[in-house]
Amino acid sequence: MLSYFMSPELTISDKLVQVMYLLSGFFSMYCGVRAWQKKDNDAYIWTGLFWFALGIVVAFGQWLPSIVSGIIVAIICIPAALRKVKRGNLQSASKAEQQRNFKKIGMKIFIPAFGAGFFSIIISVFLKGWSSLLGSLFATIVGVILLVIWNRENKPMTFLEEGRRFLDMSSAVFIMPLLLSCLGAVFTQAGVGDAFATVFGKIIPQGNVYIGIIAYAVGMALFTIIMGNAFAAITVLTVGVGVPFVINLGADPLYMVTIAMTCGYCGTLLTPMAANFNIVPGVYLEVKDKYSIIKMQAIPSLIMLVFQIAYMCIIASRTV
Amino acid sequence: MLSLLGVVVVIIGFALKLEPIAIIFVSAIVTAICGGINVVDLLTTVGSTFVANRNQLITIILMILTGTLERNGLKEAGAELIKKAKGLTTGMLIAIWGVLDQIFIIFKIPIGGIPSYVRPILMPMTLGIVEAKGYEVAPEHEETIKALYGKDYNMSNFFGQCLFAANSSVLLIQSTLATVGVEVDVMQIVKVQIPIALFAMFVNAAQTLIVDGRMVKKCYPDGLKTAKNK
Repeated sequence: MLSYFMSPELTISDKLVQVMYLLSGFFSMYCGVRAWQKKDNDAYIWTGLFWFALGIVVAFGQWLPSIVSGIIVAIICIPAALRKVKRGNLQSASKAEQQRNFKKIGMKIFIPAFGAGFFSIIISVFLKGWSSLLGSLFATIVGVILLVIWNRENKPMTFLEEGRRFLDMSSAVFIMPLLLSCLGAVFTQAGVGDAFATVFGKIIPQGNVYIGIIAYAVGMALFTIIMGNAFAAITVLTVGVGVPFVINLGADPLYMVTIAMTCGYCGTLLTPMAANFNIVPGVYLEVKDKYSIIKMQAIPSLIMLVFQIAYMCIIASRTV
Repeated sequence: MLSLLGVVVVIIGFALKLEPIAIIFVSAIVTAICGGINVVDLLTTVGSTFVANRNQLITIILMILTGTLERNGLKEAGAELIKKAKGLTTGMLIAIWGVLDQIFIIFKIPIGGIPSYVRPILMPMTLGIVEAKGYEVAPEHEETIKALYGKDYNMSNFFGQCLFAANSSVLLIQSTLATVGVEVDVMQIVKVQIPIALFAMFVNAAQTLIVDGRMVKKCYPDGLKTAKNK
């Protein structure tokens, strides 16, 4: 590990990214230990195990053999799959305290809030070759310093415990996109893409990139309507439809895959399967018709889908 | 062909609303068995992919900051911002909120959300606009306002999130491209998404103004242009 950071061949950006992983991993491990200590719920052993083991892979992934990381990932999945990763009863500051702090700091609070986006843009414009992700690291460091200067009541424990509250809220679903990436890799290794392409080849005429784009985009929306999740759809449809019917015909993969993702979101807008977006908010608002949000989303969703298909076709027409 | 069974597991599992992580876990095992991948290879693939793509978890570090931002009055600041806008119609308020919401999402600022923001702060403000004119809020209009707020948040969220470089959707696109053999920086993905985000912002606001405008005309005499004489 030390040799990694001393190595002159690696860039400062690479090393800082590893520092960011170490800090994130340590924080996740801290949350695991706190879950064990505080015993907030009846599943505290599993909850603690989840966050602690996750922290190990995040922090030390660079140096662990892949098989060891794989075993730890499998261990992380167990409490998550059994729904044993539970939230503690962590409370935020009271409304009165938030108001008092707002009087102290005022609208300046937006400065650290915009930090992550701001630093990512600065890096991509001025620091060639640096990872834009470092924006999050710089934003956190600068933001924490500002908050401590503006309000002396913000102690190190305040940041750790408030951060823990947020991580706790994000729950195990937090790692789902990453697990889907892993599943995608397993699919590729098992030749799922080829099998898929054979099946779709019988339905979609091959050789016309525009028909391929429509199949890829509409397929993303339809799969998402069925599964309620665009992240799962993109993993399957990119190997199955995107590559053989669109990208292999010469369309720019950067544009095709990127836009396909938001085509999937058009499906999310239309499905009761995505209950946390389309049904649950309605419950909070006490709507009389529980599908009223989906109905309202039907027209903009279709407009967005057509717009994005046109966008993909225009980009493809330049290179095909 | 047998390897497609893993895909079938994913589709059926999600459609039946089973625990997503359990579905992924089972699908990986089914795919490995059908595709002739042994345990060691499976774990190695999963381990190396997880580590290579763990940048998707980088928002962990931001949480150290965001939780404390809330404690220090970020929500209050958001409410102040909205209060500065006076003399608006209900549709304008909802549309402005949609645009602000999308900007907050683009910069990953933890303001917004239906339970924490719309319900306690914006709903009373919006209904207050009608009541200030001396009218009772028509039930049909109130339902429309709720649906518009629900839609507002989803449109802003889905078509704004891909403009934040460290967002999990952007990083998933990056890793999906990597499995296809194309290496890109996250900011390239963000640039591709800019026209989509702007168009969505326009569509979202336009729909809100049209739908609410029609509803106001339908429910109140004179379309709320003049206050009711008491």
